[in-house]
Amino acid sequence: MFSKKHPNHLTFDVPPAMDAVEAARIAFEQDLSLSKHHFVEGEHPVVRIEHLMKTFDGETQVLRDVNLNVWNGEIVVVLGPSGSGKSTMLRCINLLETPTAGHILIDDDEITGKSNKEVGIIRRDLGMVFQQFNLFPHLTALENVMIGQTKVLKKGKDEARAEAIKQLEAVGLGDRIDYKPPQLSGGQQQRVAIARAVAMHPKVLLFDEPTSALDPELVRDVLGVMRELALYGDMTMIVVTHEMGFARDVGDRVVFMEGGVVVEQGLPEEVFDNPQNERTKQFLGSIN
Amino acid sequence: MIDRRIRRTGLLMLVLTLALGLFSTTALAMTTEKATARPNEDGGKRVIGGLTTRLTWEGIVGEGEEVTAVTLQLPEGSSFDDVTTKVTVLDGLDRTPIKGEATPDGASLQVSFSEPAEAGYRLRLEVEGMSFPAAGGDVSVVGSYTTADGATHDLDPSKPIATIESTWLQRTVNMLDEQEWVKAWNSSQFLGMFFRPQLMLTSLFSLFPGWIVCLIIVIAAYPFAILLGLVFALMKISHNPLMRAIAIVYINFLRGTPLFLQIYIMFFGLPMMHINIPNNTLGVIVMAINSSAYLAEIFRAGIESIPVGQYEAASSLGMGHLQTMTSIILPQTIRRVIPTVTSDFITAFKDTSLLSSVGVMELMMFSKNLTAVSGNMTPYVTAAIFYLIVTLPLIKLVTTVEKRMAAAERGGGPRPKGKAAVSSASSGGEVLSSEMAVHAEALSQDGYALVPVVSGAQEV
Ligand SMILES: Nc1ncnc2c1ncn2[C@@H]1O[C@H](COP(=O)(O)OP(=O)(O)OP(=O)(O)O)[C@@H](O)[C@H]1O
Ligand SMILES: [Mg+2]
Repeated sequence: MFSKKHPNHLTFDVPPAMDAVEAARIAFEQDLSLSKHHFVEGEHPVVRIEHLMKTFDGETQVLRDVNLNVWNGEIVVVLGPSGSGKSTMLRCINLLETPTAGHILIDDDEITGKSNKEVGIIRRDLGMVFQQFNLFPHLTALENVMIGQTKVLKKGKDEARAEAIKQLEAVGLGDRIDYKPPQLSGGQQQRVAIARAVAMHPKVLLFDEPTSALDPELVRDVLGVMRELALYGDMTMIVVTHEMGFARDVGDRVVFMEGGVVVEQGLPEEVFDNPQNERTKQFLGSIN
Repeated sequence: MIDRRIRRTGLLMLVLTLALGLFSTTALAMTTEKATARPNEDGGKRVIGGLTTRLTWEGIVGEGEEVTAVTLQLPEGSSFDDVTTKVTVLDGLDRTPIKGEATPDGASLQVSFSEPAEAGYRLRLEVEGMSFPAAGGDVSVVGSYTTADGATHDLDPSKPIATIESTWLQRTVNMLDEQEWVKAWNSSQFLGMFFRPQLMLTSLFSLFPGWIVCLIIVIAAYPFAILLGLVFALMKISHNPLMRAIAIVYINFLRGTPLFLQIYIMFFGLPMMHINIPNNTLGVIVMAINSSAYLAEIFRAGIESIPVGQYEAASSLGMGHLQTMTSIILPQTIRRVIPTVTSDFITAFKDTSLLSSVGVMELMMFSKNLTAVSGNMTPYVTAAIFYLIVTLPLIKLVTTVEKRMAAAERGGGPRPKGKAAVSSASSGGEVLSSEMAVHAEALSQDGYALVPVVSGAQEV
């Protein structure tokens, strides 16, 4: 959030963002074979990442050159070894990290290089679910889901409440709306966090290892909620996870990151059963 | 003008003239000139019945008389038991204490003189340790006098002395005075010096206003202290170097110097600049400023203890900085700092005692005065009780809240795996993730030997 301006010696030569129509045409052709997404002629990607780079403290180059398109309603699962930059990429998308160079476009609108005020408005369209849930512990489940609606979207109390209850019921917590986070299990907390993000009706939902902090028996409930959301919720999701089962069943596309770049992407079964990249093979081998 | 002329002729002349003027009016019989009683109200100016005091009576011996004895008579219920009587005879300006013998008899006191008081002499009787009727009311001293020839004449009644009814408190103290156990108790040097029942009882009442002043000062000061503290906490964590510098100087000066010194600077410094603020108000101001520095540090630490994840969650909902602060960070900070702030409140409350050094009429001041008057430590012990009435429940509150908060952090929340299972819901989570980041970093240099740091979840 408060990262310094990038020092000169590491400045990258990134071409300006492509013309939206041209970019969409190229992406369309390129992605047709990589995703189960039902492509519609003339459609534009909802998230367009071009030559994204991120360097910490002027030296640690975490993202080198990330290029990725995500289509409306698509479920993209991001895999990769620890430290490969998955979280950093997600955090760049909702501007929790300021990209060092490159472009991120949401619905063809550039979101990098914006003022604080504009960033706030952009983030409304980008829901985030964190590994550590990050629920507001002083608020009940209901209030956690309401607060964004009332404070940011300026919805009325009743409307926000109705929406919150709807979303909490959708994640199976209709009977826990008045519980505070410390009174909820990790799995329940994460489901509240999902409801909180969904209640904002973002264009894209970002998940950063949503089940990694959970006991194994609680993982299933959370994955179940995410599956529902993916299959019936008409949501665009970018999910960083180590849940291979989820990636295979629910993912429209699997993206494998390594050393700050996307080294391989494609249909889940292709990437899992027939990985092309050496690193991908090694990674999938090590976890199976 | 007259005064000056007289002064020129000499002081002696004046005295003679006055004396002559006075005595030339000597009456034929003894006259009652004066009857007064010393106020015995605690800190007041009234005379309370049923409580010992000093009666002063003066009379002038009539022309051609020689008085050998005077009997003072008071209404029923008065007491001359155990009195010490001082007899003074004024002949003009000469005072001659003469020997006399005082014989108390219930509500009357007979004083006989070793040698008769001559005509024109002014007789003064000071009767220490007498008491008026407990019911109160206007009391006139009557009685009689005996002349050298053995005849007894009535005294003309004095102007009435106004007395008031003795209170419940005084009656209780009197009652305690009589109790055997109280006498036994007080005969122990320690108990009698530190826990004298009568004095404790009266102290409870007379220290009460001081206790209220302490409470008012600290309760009035604290809201300002909290506001100021919050402002300086936010200044200290702000990104503006000037703001930060101001906050640091303010906080460090106030935390780095004794409150006692700060009190002196304010109480003696401001009047020198011709800024005159009433004592109690200034006390409130000093306490508020002093506490605000401590609160600023408490708030700053509280704000900084909120995990980054909370800011990120708020940001990702689209909240701005101000909104994040007011809706997410500060409400949590307040909860977290309640025990520490309460502890600071306890300190501030106790520290009001320092204001006694500059004349604020608070608890310490009252007990100091009372101890000086009574020569007994009991008022201090009573003051301690007053302080404890406030501090003990608050100390208990701090402990309870701390325990509950610890339990809440331990009890609920996510159960991160492995060694991190003991960490708390929100703060522990941060620790966990940063640990994992460090862990991951170290591993990645080893060529991903152990890439899946998160292993348990994969089997699902
Ligand atoms: N704020 C930061 N400052 C400096 N380095 C950082 C920062 N955030 C991340 N990094 C570094 O960037 C690299 C990539 O981090 P990132 O969290 O994106 O990896 P990841 O793919 O999400 O890994 P994991 O699977 O462990 O979550 C790591 O080496 C990490 O140490
Ligand atoms: Mg990560």
